[in-house]
Amino acid sequence: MILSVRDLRVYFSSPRGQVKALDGVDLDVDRREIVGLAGESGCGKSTLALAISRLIFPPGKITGGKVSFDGRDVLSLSEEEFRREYRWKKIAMVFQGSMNGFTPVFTIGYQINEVLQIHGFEGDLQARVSELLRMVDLDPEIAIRYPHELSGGQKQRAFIAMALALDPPFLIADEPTTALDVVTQVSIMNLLKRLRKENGIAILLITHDLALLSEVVDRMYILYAGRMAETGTAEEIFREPMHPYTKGLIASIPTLQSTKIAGIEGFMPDLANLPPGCKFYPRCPYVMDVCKINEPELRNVKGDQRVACWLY
Amino acid sequence: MTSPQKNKRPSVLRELAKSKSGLVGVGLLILIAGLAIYSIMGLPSSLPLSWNNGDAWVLNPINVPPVWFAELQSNYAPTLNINLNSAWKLQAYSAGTYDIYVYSSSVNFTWNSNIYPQNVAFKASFEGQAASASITWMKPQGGSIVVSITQPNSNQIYEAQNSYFIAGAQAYVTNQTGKYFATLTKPQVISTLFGRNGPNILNSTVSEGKYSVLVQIVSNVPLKSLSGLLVVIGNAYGYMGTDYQGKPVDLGLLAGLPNALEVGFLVAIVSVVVGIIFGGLSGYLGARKDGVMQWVTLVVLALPALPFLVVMSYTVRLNLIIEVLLIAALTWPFYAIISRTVALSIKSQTFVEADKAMGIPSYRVFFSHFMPRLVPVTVAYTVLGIPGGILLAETLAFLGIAPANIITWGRILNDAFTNQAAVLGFWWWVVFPGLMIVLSAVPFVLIGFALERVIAPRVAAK
Repeated sequence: MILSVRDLRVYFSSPRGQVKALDGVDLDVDRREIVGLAGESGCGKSTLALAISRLIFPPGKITGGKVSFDGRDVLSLSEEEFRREYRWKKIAMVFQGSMNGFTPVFTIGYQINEVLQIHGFEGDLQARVSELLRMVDLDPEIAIRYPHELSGGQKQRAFIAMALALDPPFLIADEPTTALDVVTQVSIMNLLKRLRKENGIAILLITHDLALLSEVVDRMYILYAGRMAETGTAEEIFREPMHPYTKGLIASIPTLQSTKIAGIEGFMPDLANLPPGCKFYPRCPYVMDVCKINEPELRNVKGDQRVACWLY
Repeated sequence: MTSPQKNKRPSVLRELAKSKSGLVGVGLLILIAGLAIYSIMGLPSSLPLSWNNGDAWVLNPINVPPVWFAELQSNYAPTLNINLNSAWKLQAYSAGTYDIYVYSSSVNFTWNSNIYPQNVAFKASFEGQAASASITWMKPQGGSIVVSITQPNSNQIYEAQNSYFIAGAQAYVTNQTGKYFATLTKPQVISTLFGRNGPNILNSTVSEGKYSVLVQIVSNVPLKSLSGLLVVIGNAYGYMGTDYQGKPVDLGLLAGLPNALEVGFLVAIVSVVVGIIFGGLSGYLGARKDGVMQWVTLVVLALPALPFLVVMSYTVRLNLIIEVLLIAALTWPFYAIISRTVALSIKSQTFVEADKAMGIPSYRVFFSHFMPRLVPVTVAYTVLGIPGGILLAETLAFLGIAPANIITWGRILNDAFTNQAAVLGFWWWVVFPGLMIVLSAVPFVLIGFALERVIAPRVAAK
């Protein structure tokens, strides 16, 4: 297990009260595994990614739980220790909108160089930059370009190249293909698959695009209102989703045959003012009395599939 | 993949040249820089020391308007500085036991004004002891007045009210009018020198025409480094008139220019650097540190500038650097507030989060990623800050707070104020220093606005 998250809680303090962005989340990523994390906007996907890389800043705070990397609790490390040993060396990250992840005033090559230098890379910097760019199917010429001279897809690839600079064993890809066209999306996904295969890198892929997820991931997690709703292998979940929320999500993937897109009624509850019991009950078509009082826990239902729902 | 093309960056200077106000600003700036360079290179370094010493300026007319203004008024009497240096002739005699050396110099000048001059002055400088000096003053219609000075002192100034001049004039007036005057006033001596011959010489019109003056200095020893100066003091002086001690206003303004610019530049640079770093850090660090730093900024901003500076200036021995630091200590919050807002907008961008995730140390993120984007914004404000610094420094100088060893426009205005220049109609003494302060501010304002138009839209677009 390269990454294991246990009972992670991230709260944001706001004038309206405490916003529980993540409330007791468990997540595991194995070596060479691509794990998907899905859920609708605002469910806490990005917060989880940021919490794993210790990028939660005030007013946000990690109020509880444990993040272990290779068995070592990284939340207890000092910032300097974490920076030197983990940041980008072991945990690299491709951001939501990474095309804006480059500083506009420096060239791509300069910025990749900087990361290499800061982490004490020894060797031919220029050769390494070219190698990285080639690894993501970019022309090494790109190194002398400024970010604004590249297309969105090129920038995304360049950023992935930067993420791979220090050969990290683990990569968080937070919506890496948002705002890109479908053809580019597919090519980026293929790139991620190839990286896993060739570099043995483990990837946590975060997206709201379930169709895209089904193509690449081994296992997946469905997050709802800061809690895990369901987890299992991709095959299990897509063949037989159990949580009513997962069912709704999968049903809302448009197909060529459907004329009407099925959705889930209502909106995600206010995280500062959560209902008691199951957080999904106000929108659930199968709601029972018990759902309104007690919160269900993740329970093993079938094979590797675990669901937090009173139906099972 | 497109072929690599040359990376064309818009040049700030080229953009500046496109705006008319920017061009005017650059032109004025070159003019001012030229004047400042002339002031540094061309004026004697002893000027600040002699500036407030009234004796250094006695050969200038007092409280007189500029020449061009007097010429417009049609009652203009010019000031003539007649140098005797090149014309000395030496005649040496031997009179038995001792020698006699006679140095003589003859000069001519033309007086075309129908106004009497204010005064006439003679000065000779030499090494050694002179026995006597005589000035033979030949008038256009004939007749000569002889002023004999016994044992003249080197560098002493002999004016029309001096007893030697009075004695010479008395003899001439008696000759013309047949009457003896026990004493003559300065205007009467000048009437004698410049009036029409005849019984009414003391109340006559001016005798225009060619005057000849023969100066003879007699000594028993050879005189070394002999020089002489004859000054006819008129009623106008220079381009900008003179003040109550005869100090030329144009010279004072020119001498004050480099200091004013230096203070302005240094104040702007110090306060902008402090402001960018403090405000940028405040925005970058955020949260509680930002709160504390903003509080400090606002407290300093709320300090009343002039009273604070006046009090502070009495607690230290003021020199230029300390004055700059004191002024900058009050002006940096403006830049801090501007750069904090810029820093906040940069901070919310993905690349800052990305840098953090990459493990790039905080200080490096700040200096390599924040500063390059903060600096262009503040360049325009630096340029705009220079006139502010100049104005504050001159205001302090007006209040009497300025380093002792420099000439300031504020001090000149203060002199004008204490000598009631405005009430007495000595407008040149007030208007020109005021114009100079404006002139030194205008180019920076014009350039600053032009720069802001060039730089700010790019920042706003990001």
